[in-house]
Amino acid sequence: MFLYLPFILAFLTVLGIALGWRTLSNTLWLATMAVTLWWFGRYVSVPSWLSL
Amino acid sequence: MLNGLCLLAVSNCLIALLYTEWFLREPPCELYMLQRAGIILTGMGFMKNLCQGVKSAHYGVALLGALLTGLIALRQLWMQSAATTQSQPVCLFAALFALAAIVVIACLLGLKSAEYPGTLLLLQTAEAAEEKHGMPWGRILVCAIFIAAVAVTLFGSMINCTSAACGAGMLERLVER
Repeated sequence: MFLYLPFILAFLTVLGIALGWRTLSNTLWLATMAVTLWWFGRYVSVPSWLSL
Repeated sequence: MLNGLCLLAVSNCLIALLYTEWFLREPPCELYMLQRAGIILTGMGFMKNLCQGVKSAHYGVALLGALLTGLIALRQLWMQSAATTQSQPVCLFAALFALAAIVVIACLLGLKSAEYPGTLLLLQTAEAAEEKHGMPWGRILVCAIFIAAVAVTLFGSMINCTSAACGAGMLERLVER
């Protein structure tokens, strides 16, 4: 479910940009970036079983 | 003009990723989806330039999105190369497409900065002088294509990325194989 969240936020952001809602679109862009970064944070650490 | 081209490149990249998922049966995974989110974030900067006027901050938005996408794509390629026991690539198309999109965007931005040597501020003033004639149908069309691509990506993620397909994540899938 949470994987949809960046796309829902992104879609709302794009709609906000198209409709000219600057403040809302900027806030939603920040939220999209934060959610994407948070999700990507799960992959930053290398698992112990994966030998590099 | 250049912003429209960049937005078209981003839209084409999204459509190509949808094509690989639906027609080439490339299985979705979390990093694959995150790269799409990063590509959309990149496109937002160009769309802001088209809809709200050219600003340096909008180029910053696009650059941040491109950096995030590149980071995710490189991480995926690194994990792919690290899993040496795997014979089949996992979501490799997505990483390659994302890197290709970044190269295209970087080339276009480089072209623009070469055209107007200097900083992004110069780039901004150079485009602000453009005159507007009538209804900007080209901008509307390019923005509509991007919005449609984002909507289809959202729809596709809700349809294809079920808990069975995406819930396990890439690491677990590498273990299972």
